[in-house]
Amino acid sequence: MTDRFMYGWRVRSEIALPELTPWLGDDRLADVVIRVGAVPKQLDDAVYRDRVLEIGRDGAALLTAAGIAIIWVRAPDEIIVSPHPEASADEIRLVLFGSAVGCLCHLRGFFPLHGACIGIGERAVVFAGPSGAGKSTIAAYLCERGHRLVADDVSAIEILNGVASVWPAFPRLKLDPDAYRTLALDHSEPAQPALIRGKYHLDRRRSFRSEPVPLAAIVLLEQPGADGAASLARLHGNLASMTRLYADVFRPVVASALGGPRRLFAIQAEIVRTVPIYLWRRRFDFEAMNAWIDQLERLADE
Amino acid sequence: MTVALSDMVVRRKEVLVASLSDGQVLLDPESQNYVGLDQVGSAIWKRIDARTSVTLLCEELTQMFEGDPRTIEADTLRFLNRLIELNLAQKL
Repeated sequence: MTDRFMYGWRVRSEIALPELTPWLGDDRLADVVIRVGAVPKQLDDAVYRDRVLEIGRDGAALLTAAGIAIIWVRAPDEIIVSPHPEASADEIRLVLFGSAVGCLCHLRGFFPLHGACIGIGERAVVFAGPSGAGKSTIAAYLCERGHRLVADDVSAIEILNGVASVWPAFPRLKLDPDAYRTLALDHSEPAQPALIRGKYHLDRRRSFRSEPVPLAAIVLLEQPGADGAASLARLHGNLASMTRLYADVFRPVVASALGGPRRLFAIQAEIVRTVPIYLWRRRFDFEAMNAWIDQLERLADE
Repeated sequence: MTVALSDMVVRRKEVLVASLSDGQVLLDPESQNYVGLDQVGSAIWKRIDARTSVTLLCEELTQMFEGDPRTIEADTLRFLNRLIELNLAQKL
């Protein structure tokens, strides 16, 4: 069994994870083990519970994806998957790489921003925002311009030697068919990518790297103003920066269950201290976007 | 519960503080509210880390910012009352 790479962790899994690149790092023991096995019906010590997610006092998470799998993120180093007999392997990995891995990022002490991250030169830019804001579309567009994918959905930030850095996740980018067609990727893709639950899964491993990337900027995506005007402007003010950053944490309920903003406060402050945050109000017009993208590329190179 | 010059005040130890570019941001872990402080607010916050006399605090701030003592007293009392209202500091 080949161990795999994800977020800097050595991952050993009983489920095949073809999206992940092989582990080429040191000979450490596995950081995370993914097993197939029995999971509890519910967490007895749950401090949060909704239809699909339970969080235990110690931060363990129980995720229910109806008809696909129940996934128990039991500890920072262990995930147990109980697959539904009729679920496909693709669907199970979709849940595993989404919510389950996001919960694990929380448990392992990262600042998990709900956003896509692109490596531009030697630095990275995170595009954060709610679902449907266009994070993956922008990421795909930047990949087409020759930049590399660092993360698609959850950008895991850690302060390494005093520098806010993003750990590469895995080289898969999910894109809805409209964006896929708009970007005309069907002409550049070597083969038609898999369509899983309404999204194309693009493989971007050719340019994927496993080293953490210093964070050059965070771009918060917003709808254009009432007048339809687009703008890219630096977000000023410590308070605004701190609150906006927390608002884009992946699954804030997990952070809340683990101790709330208190847990993320120090790393959040370090990010605000050292990384510029921009607000980008924009339309989905790639011609018009190019000027902004040029500006972002310069920002990352500065 | 209004703070007067004759009172002593202290900030709550549970409150988290981050020093940023032009001031500080506080987080009350109970209410999960963030509060931003400018340079003057940060100067006051730093000085009330232990039981502090409001009169002495105002004298220090007057020296530091070289302003009108009456204005500084009024501003400081307003600020301290706001901190207490937000449960970030307490009167002793």
